[in-house]
Amino acid sequence: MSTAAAPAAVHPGENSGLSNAKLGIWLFLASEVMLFATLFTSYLVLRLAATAWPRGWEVLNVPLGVVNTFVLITSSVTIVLAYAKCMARDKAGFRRYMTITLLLSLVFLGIKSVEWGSKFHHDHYPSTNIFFSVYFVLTGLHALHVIGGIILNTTLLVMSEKHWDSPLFPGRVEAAGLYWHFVDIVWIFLLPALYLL
Amino acid sequence: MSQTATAQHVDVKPYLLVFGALGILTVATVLVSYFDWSPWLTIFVGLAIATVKASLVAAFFMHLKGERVIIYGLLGLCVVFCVVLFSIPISDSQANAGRMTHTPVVIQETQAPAEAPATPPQKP
Repeated sequence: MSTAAAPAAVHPGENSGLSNAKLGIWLFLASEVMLFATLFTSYLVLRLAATAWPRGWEVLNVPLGVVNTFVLITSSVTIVLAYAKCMARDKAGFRRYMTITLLLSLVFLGIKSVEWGSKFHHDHYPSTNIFFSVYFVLTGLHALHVIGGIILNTTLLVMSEKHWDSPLFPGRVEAAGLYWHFVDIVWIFLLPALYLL
Repeated sequence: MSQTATAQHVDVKPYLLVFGALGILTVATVLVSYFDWSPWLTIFVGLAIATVKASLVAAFFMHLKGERVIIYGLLGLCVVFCVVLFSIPISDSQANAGRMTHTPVVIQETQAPAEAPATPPQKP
């Protein structure tokens, strides 16, 4: 039985100039942009219409938010380094940087859970007011995306054991990296919107 | 013959430089929030810095800098829809700022009206 993949799965297609994985992930990310743009629009409309809106740093933990930003930015670098190692066919290097990315993702979620726990402890729930409703929806949806990224990256780490030589593997790593960078970009806008402004 | 992935060298130096720039810009975002500017100026500068950071991530980490035209077209379409999505609700919200869309209903306890007669009044 042939193990050869379909041409457009590995090499750029004739019409698009892109492989299936790359075109697919960009289309998916375009839909994700619209999802978060909708929520940001809701945030802006609610904020502009509100008679009173708390400054983020009055009710949220800014140092934790900033630390989480550095954690996510660092994970973006490590996943792009994992991709570089994958392209250079350095399996050990790929696994090392992917493991670091996963650990940083878990640190991000850990810090986020501490923050949410603190809010619940002080009886701040999504139903408390519009600000916390927006805060929990935006950070909650982002955290779900982080969990999705963790599942994806863990799968790739496990797959690298048996499928390292597959011509499809680098494309999958690139797609996972693009998704993870998108998650990073969303947080880059969430930090000033919720915590600082 | 089965296909296998071939090795390609990727220069990681730009990634590390972008990492440094992102760190500096994150610190700048925090510092800006402490300035006693008008709320609009603070929001504008804060989101402008966030946009620069996002652009760096997209251009270098996501390799948009040397991407195919079809991806630019896809993202361009996305930007157009985002602008529409932002501008219509926000302009509508601003146009109606301060205007109450309905009068508040005040519920007060009142005396129950007397029971209506069981039979309608007879015509003379």
